Formats: sequence, C-alpha cells, structure tokens
Amino acid sequence: MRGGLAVLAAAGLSLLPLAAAAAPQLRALPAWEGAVAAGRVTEIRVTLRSPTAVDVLLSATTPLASIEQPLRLEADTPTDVAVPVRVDGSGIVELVVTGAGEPVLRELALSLHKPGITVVAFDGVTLPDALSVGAPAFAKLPQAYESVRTVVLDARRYDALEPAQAGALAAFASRCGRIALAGTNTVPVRLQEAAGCGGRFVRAVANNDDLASALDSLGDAAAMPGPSALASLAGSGSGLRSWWSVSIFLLLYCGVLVALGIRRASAAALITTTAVTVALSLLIGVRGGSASRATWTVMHNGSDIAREATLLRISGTGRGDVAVATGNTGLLPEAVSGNRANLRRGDDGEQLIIPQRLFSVADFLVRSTRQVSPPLQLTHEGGQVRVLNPGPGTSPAGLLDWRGDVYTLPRLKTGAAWMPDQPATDVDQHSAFRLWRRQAALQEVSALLPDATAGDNAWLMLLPAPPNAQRAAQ
Amino acid sequence: MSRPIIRVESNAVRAAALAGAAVTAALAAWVLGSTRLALTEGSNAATALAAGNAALVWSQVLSMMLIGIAAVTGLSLRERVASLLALAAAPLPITGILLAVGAVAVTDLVLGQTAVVLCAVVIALAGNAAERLVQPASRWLTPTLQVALLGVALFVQHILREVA
Repeated sequence: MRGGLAVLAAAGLSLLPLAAAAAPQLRALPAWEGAVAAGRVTEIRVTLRSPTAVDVLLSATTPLASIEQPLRLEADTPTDVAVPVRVDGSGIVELVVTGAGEPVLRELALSLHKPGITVVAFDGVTLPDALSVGAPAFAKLPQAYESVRTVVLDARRYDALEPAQAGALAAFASRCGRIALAGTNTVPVRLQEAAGCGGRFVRAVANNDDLASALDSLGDAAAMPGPSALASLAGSGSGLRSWWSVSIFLLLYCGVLVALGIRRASAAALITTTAVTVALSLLIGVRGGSASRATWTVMHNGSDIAREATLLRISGTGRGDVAVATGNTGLLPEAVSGNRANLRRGDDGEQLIIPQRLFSVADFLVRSTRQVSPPLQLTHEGGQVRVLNPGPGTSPAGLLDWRGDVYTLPRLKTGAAWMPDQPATDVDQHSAFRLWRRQAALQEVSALLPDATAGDNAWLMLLPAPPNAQRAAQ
Repeated sequence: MSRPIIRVESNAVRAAALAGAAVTAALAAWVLGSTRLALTEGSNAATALAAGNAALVWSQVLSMMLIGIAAVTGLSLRERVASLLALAAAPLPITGILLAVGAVAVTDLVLGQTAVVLCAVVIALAGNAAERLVQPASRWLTPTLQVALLGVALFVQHILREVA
C-alpha cells in the first residue's frame, strides 16, 4: 500500500489544484524515485504555479525535522525549489503552502530502504538490491545523498544531469561517496577534482563485466565520528554555569528565610521576600540559550576537500526559542537525542529554531565538506615520515601518530620541515586526543591539529595521500 | 482593633519562616540534585523533574499539617492562617525553576497552589477547632489528638495517592 503511494508520489502525478482558485498548484517529486532510508535526508522537488504574483511560505514537515521557505511566485510562472526532508520510520512527508488563499496540503509517502542504497543509472548491468533510476531522479541537493552508498552511471546519463544534479554528485564524491562510471575509461574532470579521500572511491570501469568486482574492491571511507564522540569534545556547554547560578540563588533565598526566622519578622516581611524571589525566579525563564560547536575535520594530503562533522550544542538557560544562524549551507541538521530540527530559510540566511528550557541540551549534527588548504604536507615514504609546512604562515603545534607512537608536532614556520624523533611520553590525553586515537587506529600515520579556521573547538585530522589512491583519469 | 493577618508578628511566623526555609532547602536539594544528574548524564532535566508539581504541593501541605495541626498550639485563628500561608508561600520560588525547566504546566501549577491555599485555611480551621474543643479537658489531650489527626491525614493522603 505504501509502495503504491510512493509510486504515486514519485511519478509526480499530484498536479492537482486542491484549494480555492487563488491557491497555487503544487507538484512534488521526490529524489531517487522516493527511495530513502529512515532517519536520512532526501529531497522533494517542489514546483509551484500561481495564477497571480504572490508571496507564499512553503513548509515541509516530518517528525524529525521541518523546513520553512518563503517564495515569491510570479503569475503563471512555475517556480521550482528543492527541499531537504529528513524522514522517520513512517516515511511520511507533509508539504504545506500558505499565504495564497486556502493552505495547500500534500502528504507524500516515501519508500523506505535500508541505508546504503546502490543507485544504478546504467542499462548494461544488473546489481543485486540496486535501485535503477533515470537521470531526472538524481538529487540536486548534496545532502539528499545521505541514503546512498554507491552510484553507478554511464557517461550519457552523467551528461544528462542538470548542473545542480551534477554539483550534488560532485559533492557526494567529495564526501568519499562511491561512484563508478560505467562503460568508459575516464572520470569527468569535475568529479576528479571534487573527489575526496584522494579520489580512491571514484572509478571508471570500461568493461561491464568488471563492474561488480570493481565495486567490491572499492571498500568504504572511514566513518566520521558520530554524535556521542563529538559530544565529548563539546563538553557540557553552559549547563553547569546555569546550574551554579540557580544553586546560589536558592541558597541565598533560604538564607534570607532563616534570617527572617531568627529575627522577629512579620508575615508581611516573609511574604514580600517570597514574592520578590518568585518574581526573580520567573525571570530565569525569559533568558535564551547559548550555542557551542565541536568540529572534527578529516582530510588527505593531495586533496583540498575535507570531510567535516560538526556537533552544534544548544544549552538552554531559560524558556523560549533560540534561533541559531547556520549560514546558507542548505543543510538540514540531524537532531540528536529526540529533538527536532526546525530550519527557517529567509533573505538573511538560514536559521535553526530550537525551543529551549532551563538546563535543556539540544544537539544537532551536521555532516558536510569544505575546501581547505592543508596546513601541513604529510608524506610517508621509505619507512620515514616527513612533515612540511607549505605556508603561508606558521603552522599550529599538534600531534603525530606513527605506527602507534605519539610524537609532539612542533609549530613550523613556512617552508620548514620536521621528522619525528622521540615519541612523546607525557601527552595531555584530552577528549580530542582520545577521539583522534580511535579514529587513527587503522592508519599508519596521521596528525592532529587544532583547526582555527573552523572555530574554537575544532580539530583537523590530517592523513597522507592514500598510497593506493587510483585516479580514474590516470 | 486587631491587626490585619499580614501584619501578624509572632513566634508562629518565625517558626513558619524557619520551617519554610527547611522545606525550600529540601525541595531545592531535590531539584538541583536531579538536574545535576541529568546534566551529567546528558538526559532531559524536564523529565527528571516531571514530579515537580506534586512534590511541591505535597511538601507544602505536609509541612502545613505538621506546623498547623500538630506542633503549634495556643494560637489565634488569625495567627494560624498567617503562619500557614507564610509557610506555604516559602517554597514558591521553586515554581519559577520548574517553569523554566519546562517540567510543569502553568495550569497545573495554578491548580496546585490554589489547592494549597485552601488546605492552609482548612488546616488552620481544623487546628483551631480541635484546640477549642479539647484543650479544656487536658493540657496533654490537645497535642495528642492533633498528632493523631496528623496521622489520619497522612493515612488519607497515602490512600489518595494510591488511588490516584
């Protein structure tokens, strides 16, 4: 039954005027023909058409997240927008358009799959459990690849992708997503340049018979740290500060009561004291919250694409909504620990709206990639490790892990090189150190550096260029 | 001409202030302990304090019973009402914390505190009536009867909680 609804939604047959004449027409087409994994983001491509020019508000809501986007519709001109949605186990997405006549409502039932979907846009091969799609089904938003593990497509279908779709596929490559270009010897330049992890997960496979074995040999990129690992970097936020403030407040109040009891006080004095304190305690409820971030970045030398996982922690210091600017990333954060991500888009950027209470902690995880110049060059050749600062500027001090030993990596001036000598014996084993040791457990060599470009509580794990990196173009 | 209730100055009011401080300190210890545990464990403080309104109301009512029926004798009705209201009001700053945490709905809080005020009046009347009826018979009978009344009240409260 759900599959039938999904097919109905995926086919985009919902071009139906549901409301009054002034209301816009709404057409919704999910990416990947409606296939998505529970808890992951996919994309709904919405087309709106109104008989008159009008400002509307489009909202897409699931139990895990909601997004609001204001749109300007011109008369009889279709307006397309790709909306990210994070679906839960029901697969239901509710679209609402308000601001022009009666609200237009549409409910989509997406088709739930296991995470790690293999998408095939190629006629020459049959892969088990793969989802066969055409070029129009490809997502335009990079985040809509969250459910996808592997993409197999041929040059014809790659060329048929719209620019936004090709950009999203390139972003998937930059996050070390597995891409196989079938029936060709060359990887498109854009994919080559965008590919993360040294390009080892983007491959051209000329012979169709080799496709399955080539995919098996690709492997997967090392997983980025999850919310609990990043939470150890984020600390407790301002929660403990609020706790101490409230403790002192109540202690002072009890002290005043005792003083009134010891002295000969009237009921009026007692009740006045209590009333003033109640008023003060109610004021606690009108303060906002504070946001802190912890960022973990992983990059390989030989590439300027870094993978990034950021935990955004909102510590409530009172009752009310907190709006946190998230820039124009287009990313729908993943709400951790039962919260819901409410994203509001506007002319002044995107804001994450979080209802807060005193002592509440709301964590949101954002996975992304960014272009960054590697602060150091890490080479591992001939059984020796060499670190070079290509500049500009002096590199920060950090740590180096080589074959299980930890070395203190000094600050290096531009052009300076350093080689590990004696392992460090008294390393401060802070939370970032422990996370790095876990993440680097399978690596022969890696470096940990504070990442000032990403914030105060940000760390960069630098890896040498993969020795087995195979640029498909080569 | 007698002074208004709110101007009453007596040992009963002083006792109410001290008892109120004790009740508030106990509630504060519970609130702060629960929230600290929630913060440490990364769990929800509002859930940890979900029983906040009930704890507040019962601590107010029980302390009023203790002071108003069992412990305080020889008071006028006005003194009794004043001291009980002062005692009931003492832990109210905890309500601000509970509201800010989101553990209590405003309507529940208002209903709970209305019940507390009614209890204060009823307890004052009951204590006063018991003292008038029994005191002439024996100087020990009143406190004995009041303690018995407190026991009955606690038993009824226990039954009501079980039923609820």
